[in-house]
Amino acid sequence: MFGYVRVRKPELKIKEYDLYRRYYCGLCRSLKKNYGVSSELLLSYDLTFLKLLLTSVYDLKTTDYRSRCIAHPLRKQRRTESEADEYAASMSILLGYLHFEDDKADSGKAGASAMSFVYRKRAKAAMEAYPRQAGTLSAELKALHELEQEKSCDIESLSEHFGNALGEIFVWKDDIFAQDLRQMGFFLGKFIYVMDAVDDWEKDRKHGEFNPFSNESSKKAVLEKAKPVLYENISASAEAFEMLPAVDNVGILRNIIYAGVWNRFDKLTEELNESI
Amino acid sequence: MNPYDVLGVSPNATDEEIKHAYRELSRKYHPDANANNPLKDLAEEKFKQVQEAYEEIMKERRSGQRGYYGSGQSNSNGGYNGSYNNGNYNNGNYNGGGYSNPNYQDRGYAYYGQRNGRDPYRGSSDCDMCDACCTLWCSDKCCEAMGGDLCTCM
Repeated sequence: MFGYVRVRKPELKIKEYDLYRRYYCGLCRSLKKNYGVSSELLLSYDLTFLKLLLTSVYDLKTTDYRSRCIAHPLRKQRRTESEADEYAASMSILLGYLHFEDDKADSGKAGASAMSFVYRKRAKAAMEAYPRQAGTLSAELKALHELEQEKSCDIESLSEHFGNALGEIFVWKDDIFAQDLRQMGFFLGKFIYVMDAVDDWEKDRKHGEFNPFSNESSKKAVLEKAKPVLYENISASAEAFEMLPAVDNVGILRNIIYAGVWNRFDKLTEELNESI
Repeated sequence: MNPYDVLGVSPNATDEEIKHAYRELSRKYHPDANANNPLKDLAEEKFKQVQEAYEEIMKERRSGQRGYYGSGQSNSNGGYNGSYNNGNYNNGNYNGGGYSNPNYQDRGYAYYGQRNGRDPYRGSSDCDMCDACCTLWCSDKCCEAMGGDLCTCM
């Protein structure tokens, strides 16, 4: 996806970071196992977070093992798998495929068309397995695409579509945690969309592409405008998270929600301060 | 039945205590853990009760019926005083996004400000040196054991 939902490494304990890596490598292996080697390219920190969250909320049993992979052919990597792996892997495929489809429709780039073709069959399998998520995801991303085509700068409406998509993905099962998971995903999705717009502002401006902050004249103005929106959304997401019975690995989850999600924003602010 | 009694916690318990109690009981009464138990029907019934109790407590806290967010009650993280209850930001043009509770995000700031603020990961504004000096001065002046004459030490 976007990779904004990641840990703040210096603030983690070494054993927590080690565990986080194991979850990450476990998801990578799960992608390969369920959807083939090329699916490993769709591995993301965002979906690793979802796996970690669902494993903690549903108190799922985990299995540890070691194995080699293309990225680490010499040394066996420690991996942790849980029941949530297959779900997180399927959502990675769905998001990746729809993203390439969106790119294809948007720019008609050969790369996007090729990737969309590569993942089509796999995405179909994921759509059949999770029709609720697939339906919402494709409807919301389509609506988002249409708004972007209209060059709407209404960041609230734009981010809401992505929020709805992520909210649906966060709801793994229809049970007592569904409401909080949906709210958490919804606001986290909005946060991610705004953060992505902030991150891409300079590049989009250079290439004359659409950006929700295109009315802003400077990077400083973009950061100032985005900060309260980002804070507002991540606060609401954090509140929903605190309602969930996440007990195991809550240190890693809080590190991500309360610090890690700001990594990119802090980097952009730092760059801006250095350039002044 | 009182949901707090089901979980075996006090109504003043922190969210963290409730989560731990819920987790412990749900593990104990989970149908998978009691598959071979002759009283598995009872365990299943108890499991449902635990789930309902957790849901009820969280619903109650979410809607603020106990005034949790504004009560000044501290949670496991310590120090929460509800001062962020009204939020530092005006929700302004936020249209709710399908969530009807207008205070939803404001209350989010309570958690976020307290934990992030940027609190546990960004360092604290408290001056450790001042705390240490004040404590030493109080001990020196007030406590008999430290040479003062105000307090009588055990």
